[in-house]
Amino acid sequence: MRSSPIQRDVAMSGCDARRRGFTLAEILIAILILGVGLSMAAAIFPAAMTYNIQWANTVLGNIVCQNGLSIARAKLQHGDFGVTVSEKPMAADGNYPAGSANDEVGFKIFGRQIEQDKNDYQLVVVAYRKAASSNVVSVKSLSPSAIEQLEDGRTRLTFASGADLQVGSPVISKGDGAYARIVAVDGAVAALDHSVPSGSLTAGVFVIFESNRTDKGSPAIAVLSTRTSLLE
Amino acid sequence: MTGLSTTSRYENRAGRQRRGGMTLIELMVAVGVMAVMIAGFGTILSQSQRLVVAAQAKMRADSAAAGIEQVIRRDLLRVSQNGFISVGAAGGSPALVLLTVGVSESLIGKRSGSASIVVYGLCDNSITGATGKVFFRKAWVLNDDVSGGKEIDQWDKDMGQIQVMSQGEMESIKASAISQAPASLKFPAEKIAEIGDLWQVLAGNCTSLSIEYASASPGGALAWSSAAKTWTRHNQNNWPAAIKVKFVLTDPSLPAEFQNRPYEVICPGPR
Repeated sequence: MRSSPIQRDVAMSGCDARRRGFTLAEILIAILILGVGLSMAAAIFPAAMTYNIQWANTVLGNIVCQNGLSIARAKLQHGDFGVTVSEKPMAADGNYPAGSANDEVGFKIFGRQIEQDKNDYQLVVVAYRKAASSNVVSVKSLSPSAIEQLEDGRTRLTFASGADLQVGSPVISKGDGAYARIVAVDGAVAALDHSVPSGSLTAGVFVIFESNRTDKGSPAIAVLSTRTSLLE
Repeated sequence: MTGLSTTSRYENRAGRQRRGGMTLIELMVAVGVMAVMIAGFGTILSQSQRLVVAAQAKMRADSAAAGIEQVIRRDLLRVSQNGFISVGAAGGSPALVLLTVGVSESLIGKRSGSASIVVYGLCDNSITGATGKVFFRKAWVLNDDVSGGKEIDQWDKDMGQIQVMSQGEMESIKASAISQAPASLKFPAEKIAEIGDLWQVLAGNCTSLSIEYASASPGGALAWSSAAKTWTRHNQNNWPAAIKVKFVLTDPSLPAEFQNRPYEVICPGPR
């Protein structure tokens, strides 16, 4: 049965009821959704900042490592290191700017004699930048209780519980100066960024540690390993 | 159903349609909430924007510094104890003059030499005045062939002649290099005349330069000095063990705490 013109009018007025304006609740929901969208857009900024900071640290780290090597050659002498790796404290000479009291940026230096009694050394320079100037950067000597060579070509080290491990720290073998970077930490277990032969690690390792870091990150920003003679 | 009753119902629906929209109060509440939110995000975004601009300026300064660092290291690693290094002053600012060994070519001519004389210093920028100085470098190729005229970046001596020079003669070469340093350079240069004598601009926004050196100090702290001094083959045992070039890159358009970026390049002295 066909509807009369009047009935059609009634149907259209039903349509008008659907086209009524927004209610306050609807507007608030829309604003909420907009807010979620804006906050997601705002989250892009910190991510870009982190990337910028990492890039700036890499540039600075390379300069600090090269400076550290120059300072080491002016300061360290034949006999300062034995055939196993040890750290040589540099005091204010290890700060950047060199000799200043400002130790927010600086370097730690490790070395070993490549051959007994010969003036031929391997030096490992680790540049760091602290998260806060009141923090203290130190070198920890650790011995892994288990060394696993994983199938993906990485090495996993297990230390005694309570070991101070920070993601990004270099792990420097005391035996032969081989080094790798910690890419993941789970309690006292550290995954390295590449495979280091187990024989290099059994004598123990050095890691870099910054006190009071809340983000479990490492202050290390660059590593330089080189071979040089020292002052006679 | 009569036509009249249908019409009154239609009017009734039209009435409800008006009530279905927002009242002025509701609209104002919504606009108020939105304004508060936009103000909040605006603050966050303007703070992020400030940090991003600062980070970008840091990156620009860092990459400029990394480039300058490479040039300085390359020059200082090529210094031999048969040549000289001299820390002095040009136009009131510290200057470093050195003789680098290794094949080098004139930038504009075909002449080449087995060594260069290089000078680093600071002068005014003729565009910005003393607020942003120019960190400059110039290298002259050692070549004693001056037939047809000397190139702008040619020094008419050869390495053989330099090697037998007295301390005083080497000092005079250094003095001559420093005396040629310009009082001001235009950066960015617009015309070829402003590039003129091939003074290389390492940075056009440098506010401070200092050159320091330290003797070998086994076991002790390094003692840095910036007093004027020249080292030649005549005093081989006293050459500095480390040479430090410190400079500050400045961006006056940034807030004060981000304006200055200090850098320090330390190179080993020749052994």
